[in-house]
Amino acid sequence: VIILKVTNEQLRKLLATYKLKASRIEPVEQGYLAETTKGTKLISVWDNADLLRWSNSWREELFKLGHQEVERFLVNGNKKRYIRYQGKYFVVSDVPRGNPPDPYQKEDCLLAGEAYGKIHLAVTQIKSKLQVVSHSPIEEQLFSEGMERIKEQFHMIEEKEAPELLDEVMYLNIPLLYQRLGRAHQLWQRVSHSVADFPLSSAGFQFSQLIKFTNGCYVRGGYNVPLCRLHEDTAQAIREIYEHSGWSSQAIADFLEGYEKHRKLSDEELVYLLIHFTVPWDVWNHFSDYVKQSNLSEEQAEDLMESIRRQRYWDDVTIQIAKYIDVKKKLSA
Amino acid sequence: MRKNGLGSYQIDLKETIYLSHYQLPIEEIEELELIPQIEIDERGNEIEITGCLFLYGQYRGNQSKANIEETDELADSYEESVRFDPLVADRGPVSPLVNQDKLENRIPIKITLPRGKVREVDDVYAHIHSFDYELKSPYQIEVVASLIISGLMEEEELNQRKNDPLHYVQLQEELENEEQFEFVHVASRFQESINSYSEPPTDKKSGLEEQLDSIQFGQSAGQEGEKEEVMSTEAQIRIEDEQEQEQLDFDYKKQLEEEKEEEKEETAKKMVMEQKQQKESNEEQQADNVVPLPGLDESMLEEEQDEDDVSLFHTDEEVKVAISSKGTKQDREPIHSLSSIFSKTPKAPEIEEKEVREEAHIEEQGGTEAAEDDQALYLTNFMGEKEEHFTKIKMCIMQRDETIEDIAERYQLNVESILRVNQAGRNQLGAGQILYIPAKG
Repeated sequence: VIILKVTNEQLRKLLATYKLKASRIEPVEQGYLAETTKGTKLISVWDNADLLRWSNSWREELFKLGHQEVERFLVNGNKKRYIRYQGKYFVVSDVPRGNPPDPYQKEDCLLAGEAYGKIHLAVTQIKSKLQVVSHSPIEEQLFSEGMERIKEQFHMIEEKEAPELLDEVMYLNIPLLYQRLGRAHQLWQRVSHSVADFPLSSAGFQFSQLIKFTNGCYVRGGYNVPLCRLHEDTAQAIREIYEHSGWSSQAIADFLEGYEKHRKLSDEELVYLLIHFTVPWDVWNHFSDYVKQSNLSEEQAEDLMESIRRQRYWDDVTIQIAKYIDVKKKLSA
Repeated sequence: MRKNGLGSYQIDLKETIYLSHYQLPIEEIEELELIPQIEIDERGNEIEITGCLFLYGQYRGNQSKANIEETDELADSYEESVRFDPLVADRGPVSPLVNQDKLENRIPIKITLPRGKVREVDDVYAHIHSFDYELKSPYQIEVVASLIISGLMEEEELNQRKNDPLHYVQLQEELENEEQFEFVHVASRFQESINSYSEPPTDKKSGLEEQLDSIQFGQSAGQEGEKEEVMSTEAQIRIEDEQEQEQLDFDYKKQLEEEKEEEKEETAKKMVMEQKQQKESNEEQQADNVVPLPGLDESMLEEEQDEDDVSLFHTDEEVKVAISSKGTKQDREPIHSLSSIFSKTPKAPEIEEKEVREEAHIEEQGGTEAAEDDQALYLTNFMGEKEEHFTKIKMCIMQRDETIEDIAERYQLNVESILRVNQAGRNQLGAGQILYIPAKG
């Protein structure tokens, strides 16, 4: 919740510039929710003008591409899509009601894929001078430093006089982590030169930002979200679909199929996606905590065990994505 | 189980040890010991040898050490490139950080000996004679060992005691001074008569033999009565009461060996006949220099006749014995037990002993002469017309640190006469040896 020294009266005056009369206003995450004579409106508050501009751009591009089910910023009486006040940017948009796509439904996965494809098609149209704001975890540093850290920790455990059970579990898994990280590094080296040219995308785009309509998905949200390399959001969407579809790799395949209806994924993009799944993130994060703390709390240790157990699902989806790439390569050959 | 030298028996064990899930599989044994942890106690009429053989060792496990390996080159297919070994949430039963483990296993032992088989409890001791192992698999070791139980009385001594009613009385009263026996000696062929007295029926065991056979190896008392209960890993232990293998220091023994085959049948017949006569005409016996012969009957004779090659002292019997392992803490896997049944309820010795006691009682009540007459008749018949002269001798067992001079002095004899009767030289004498003490005059 953004806490501003803004009174309801000031917000009503703001809405009045949009020819909207608010009956009730309440603070919500990223802004305020107002019940108006023309429906529920969201007043989002932005800090960064460049992000706001970029966000507005992809929405407008998406609309131009024919995807009208997108949350656009409304134009006020000043013919602007924002009002600047107290160094912040106040933006008003519609608030659609509805449910997100159901990952268990093939059709929903296809539609979600299509929405993502269109969004990415839109962002590639944006001519922006913006730089990457949020760095992807997949960088050379991850591999070089991470693999070195793994080796160090391995030897440290070996030298422990009285290793604990957690040390022993880590000791068993470290070579397996190293194996995955090493492979991800190889894949990264293969595509890193191309990835550098990937367009920017919203780093924190959530699958839940989609609202299902009869013929597609309404795209909303993405306020104040930093930018990062393309397909961070795709990987995020795939994770969500996979987890919420009962670990269905078919749901992933449907999503990708929908995506490529509107935007073809290059080999490099697919390999970049594959790298995201080759690194066992949950386990890796626990390992990083273990290294930093020289131990894990009981709760963390339990989370680690659960992550290790779930990793087999991620290993499966990694293979499915790899298969997808192999098949696609064969078809294009 | 088999006889193993003077007063000792060898128990051959073969035990398969299975590692538990909590132990490293074995790559190489580095150290392995088998330590007898045995207590020998006297319990009523039995000597109990209980405890275990403690197998202790260290070994190098075959657990492959975790290792960080450099990543292979990317495969042609992405699918192949991203196939990984699954992560592990369980470190497994054994720490991945160790590659050595200990081996500890106890093979329970319970041996019951008749008290009469042992002179002194303190004389009995057990030790491992030989020990070897074979690694059958990384999870399985087969241990082969020989346990020696020493300090038992020689069968010869037992037989002599058995035939001596006085001794039996002494035995029952647990008298300490047991080395003196008195028995009838036929002057010129005393070996045969000794042999005849000692000769056991080949099929039916004498009481003491049965007692000897009642040595039990078992896991628990509840198993003691179960005969020939042999489990998969049981050790078969043979009793080979090989008297021939004993060191025979006396020439008469050698002579006995040579003559026994041709004499045995005749001797046995005479023994049976004599026994019958003894039973029928106990009161009519007049001789004063004989002791009663332990019961032999015709059935014994018949069975003996079928086994011409059986030595008079020889009982060659194979008995299955199992020594069972109780599960130890680490024995999660079912461990095959060796449970020993080597027993035959020693009832016969009681009957026989009773007979001997009764006869001894007759002797004590003034019936000595009659009993001796009975035996004299038997011996007369036994020897046929060849021998009619009897000489009374005593027998003693040389004790440790005892010299022939000491014995001669005790019996008020000269050394030479003892040596002559025993047809032995000074350098042939040793502790444990039976010496025949001629009657004075």
